[in-house]
Amino acid sequence: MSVVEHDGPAGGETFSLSAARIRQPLLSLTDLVVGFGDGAAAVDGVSFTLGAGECLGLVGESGSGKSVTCLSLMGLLPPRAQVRGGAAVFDGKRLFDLEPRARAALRGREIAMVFQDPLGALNPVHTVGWQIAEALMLNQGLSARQARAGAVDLMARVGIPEPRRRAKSYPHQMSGGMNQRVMIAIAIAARPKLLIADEPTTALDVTIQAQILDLLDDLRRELDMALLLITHDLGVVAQMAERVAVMRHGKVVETGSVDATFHAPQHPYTRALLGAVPRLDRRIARLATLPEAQELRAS
Amino acid sequence: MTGTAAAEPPIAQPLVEVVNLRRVFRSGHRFGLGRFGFGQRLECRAVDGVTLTINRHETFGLVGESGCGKSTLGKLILDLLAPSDGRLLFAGRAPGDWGKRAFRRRAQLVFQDSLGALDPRLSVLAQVREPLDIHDIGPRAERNAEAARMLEEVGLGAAFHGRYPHQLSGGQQQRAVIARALVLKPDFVVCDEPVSALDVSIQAQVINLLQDMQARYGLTYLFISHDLSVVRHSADRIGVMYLGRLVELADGETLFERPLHPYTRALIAAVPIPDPRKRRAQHSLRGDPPSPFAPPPGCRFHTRCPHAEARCRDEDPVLRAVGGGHAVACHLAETLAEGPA
Repeated sequence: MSVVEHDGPAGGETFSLSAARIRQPLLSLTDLVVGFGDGAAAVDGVSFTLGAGECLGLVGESGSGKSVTCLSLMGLLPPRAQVRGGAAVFDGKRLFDLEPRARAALRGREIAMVFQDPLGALNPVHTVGWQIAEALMLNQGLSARQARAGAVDLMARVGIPEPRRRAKSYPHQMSGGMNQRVMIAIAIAARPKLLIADEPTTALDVTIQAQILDLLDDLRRELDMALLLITHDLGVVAQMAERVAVMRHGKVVETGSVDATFHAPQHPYTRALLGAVPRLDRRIARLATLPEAQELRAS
Repeated sequence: MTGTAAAEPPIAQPLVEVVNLRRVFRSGHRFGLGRFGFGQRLECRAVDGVTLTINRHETFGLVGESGCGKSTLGKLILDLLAPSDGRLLFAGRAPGDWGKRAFRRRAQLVFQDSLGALDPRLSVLAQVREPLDIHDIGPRAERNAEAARMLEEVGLGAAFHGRYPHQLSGGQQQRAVIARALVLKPDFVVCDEPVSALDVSIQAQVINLLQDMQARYGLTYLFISHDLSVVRHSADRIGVMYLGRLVELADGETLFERPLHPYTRALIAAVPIPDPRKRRAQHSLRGDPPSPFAPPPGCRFHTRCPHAEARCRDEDPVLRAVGGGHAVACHLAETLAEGPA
């Protein structure tokens, strides 16, 4: 089944809503194909655009290719995987044509990323203050003294109480929510134009998840930073994103505004996915299931 | 579960009765360093005086955040952990009076980590047959057939019999775990985060399967989950836990329509609804939950509660009935009930 686009004429661009209609997109990804070794493509012709300051939700189940899509944008694909085709234009630069050095210069400065597991992403042998200061020194060329002060400011900005004292803590001394705030502080240290958040709240409790989502939303508006939010949680997308792209088996099956996608889903997979989620706001007698899902996973 | 509401008996018969159950864990010496002074052993009251009743054929949902003691309570109810204090009755008798084997045959468990719960060296059929061997149920020659029948019921046909756990998807593994739990025809199953590791579409299949099995075998479930949406969908009555205590107890409809405890309200408000027209107001609960090793005095929630008063810092509220099977442990429940949720 072909991609369902709620906005945009047939064969047109996938962006054409609200802010994106007026502004040049910050990122436009066209027909991305990524494969591992000689195997089948994990990402098979993914296209989307993201306007400056916009939030796009990339939603799908395990193995749908959402993380691989983002890793290829970051230039962080594992060695076995390679981009087989497609183009990504970010702020006028063709990402896949850049030299590795130029690519690295973008990473952390203009495109930053937050991962699911903050404890795994932080360095256990350095204090969190040191790790934020390191980002400031590397990306903004601050002196050690300036960076130390900047780190405390950033920690306050992401809502860590007693930042001066907490800067001396090691990751294992902090809660999961606090570590995720540290990761976000590192990511926004250089005021990137695009923040990619890969399941940023999946490992967190629901009240902490709400705090982190509020923080990401505030930062996006304040810094006019585009947010590419990857999640399996349809609730998180509905709450955070302006537009959504639903992925399955390496393809985008439906894309459009969150309102159109959630209230008038066109693709059968989107409809089934929405029917399969237990709801807090209403009781459903029986959840919808995707009959072929089991077999597909087994093969 | 939801679909079996009509099949419920008119009078609720208690199957599991828990009275003032407590479990204290003591830390090793290494936690004694630092601000608690050297060599001091810390106590964690993981479950601190919980009283509740689970009725036959119902699904009792237990929700709460990490470390609130919900899994420990599940293990206590299954007699997998010995309580430090309190009483547990299963069908009117203490687990000790049942005898270990007889009790285990009637009360089973489904875990979150299905791969870890399965024996990596046994085929799917052997996994499900094993409980029949252990409990010596039925003639040996017919046990494979019985196991196969159970697997068929959970949707794993003959093609899966010879497979090993690592050859199954997450959803299939959980089906095998459910078959193994149900092959003994238990009365009671504790489902501890049974769908948390699964994708949405697979999660829906497993929830529906648990619902079908309950209807077919008249099962009673204790359904433990951090996911309020899943619990609301699955449970008839729900208990909310915070730092080892039950803070609110009600049937599902009441709990979600008229929550009384500020923590329950905050939990419900924090859940992202998959509907962009119902966006959450931005007033999340501040701070992290306190450490269970050093719970605050008075009401344990007062450090994060937006309504806390002087009394909340000193007096520990007890779980008290407020009518209609609804119970809450909050000094201010009546005052708050009148205000907006």
